Amino acid sequence: MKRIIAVLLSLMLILIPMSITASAAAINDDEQRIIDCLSQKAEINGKKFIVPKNYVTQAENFLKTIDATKAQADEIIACVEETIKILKASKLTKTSDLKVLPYEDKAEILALGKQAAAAVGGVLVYDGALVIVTNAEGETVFSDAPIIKTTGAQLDYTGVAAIAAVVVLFLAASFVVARKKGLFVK
Amino acid sequence: MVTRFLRKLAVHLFLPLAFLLLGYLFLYLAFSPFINFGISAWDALSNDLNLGQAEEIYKDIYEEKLFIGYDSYVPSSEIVYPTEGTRYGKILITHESDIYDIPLYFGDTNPILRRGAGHYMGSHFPGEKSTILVSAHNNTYFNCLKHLEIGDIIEVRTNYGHYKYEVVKLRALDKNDSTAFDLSADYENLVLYTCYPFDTLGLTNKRYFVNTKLVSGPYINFHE
Repeated sequence: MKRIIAVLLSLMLILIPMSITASAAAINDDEQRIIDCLSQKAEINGKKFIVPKNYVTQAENFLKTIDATKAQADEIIACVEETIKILKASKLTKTSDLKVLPYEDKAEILALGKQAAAAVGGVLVYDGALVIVTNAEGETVFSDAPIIKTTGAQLDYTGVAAIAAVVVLFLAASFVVARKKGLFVK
Repeated sequence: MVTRFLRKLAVHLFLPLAFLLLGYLFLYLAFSPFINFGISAWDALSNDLNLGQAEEIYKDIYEEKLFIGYDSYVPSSEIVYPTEGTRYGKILITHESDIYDIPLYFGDTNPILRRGAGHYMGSHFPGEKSTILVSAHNNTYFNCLKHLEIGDIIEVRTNYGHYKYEVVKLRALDKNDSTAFDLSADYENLVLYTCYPFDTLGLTNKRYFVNTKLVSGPYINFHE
């Protein structure tokens, strides 16, 4: 679900020109329609689905830096509705079903997102783990990375493996040398 | 003949491999606190020295002289909202005679957290009557959180307004604890967090959460 919703969100983000302008209000009426659309409860196959709050807020924070027009808002909302149609046509009844969506559905949604991104100069990247949307300046405007970050030392499995390997090899080498020198012979 | 071959394979390959893997596992379990300490110390040192990391250019839109000075509300049209990596304010924490002045950036990626406190982009801004989620490293900018007590005041100065928050909760929780904060809250609250314990270098799944409530500061009027 996160991936699909992220793509929906990216469609909304990237169809807006990436320009920073002084606006009458940080969120104009058309941008508010986008936020309302993302905040709605979508009924899919008898179940209600919502976009995670942190996704909507990222969209909101990005909209505060630009000034979307009515036409752009209409287009974005249409893309969101089209994606919902795809999901409704599937057998989706819970978020875990997203993982087993047909490849064609996933590809279609992703293609929609990338196509829209290319049309307005934005970039959507999905590396199999994270969905990231950047603006024309290369600044991240959306990411579905975990909310809570590592704010202390970070685990480096490579380092752990390397140190363990050195220790084991040292012990093994010591054992071999000890045997050759007959230290284990009574 | 096949049996003999399999026996040789077991003796000369599978058994040594099994012992090797068991050895790895045993050594890791036995020495993980020390291994982690070593990795953490190196990580902290490399962060300080910025080893292998190119210096990145960050924008700074925080200037005290541009503080508008609204008491009750500020029109959203007068706010320059930050993009990722932009410094747009500072956090001031006072403990006895010490004042901790922490740069506040929008975004909370690793490069940002090396420079100051990071504002999670999926949370709101001060003045928006919702949750503001901010993090920083436990051995640098947010090490001072350990001095906080219930009732202490935390000041957040942004490029559009000055805010004060009162500490109401101090908790060490698992990082996945859903009770730590609520991004859907309809009341203004600042949440600071960092890895816990503070002064212990090592891996941890715990975070120290500081929950606060708004004391003063202008709300943002999105209709203007």
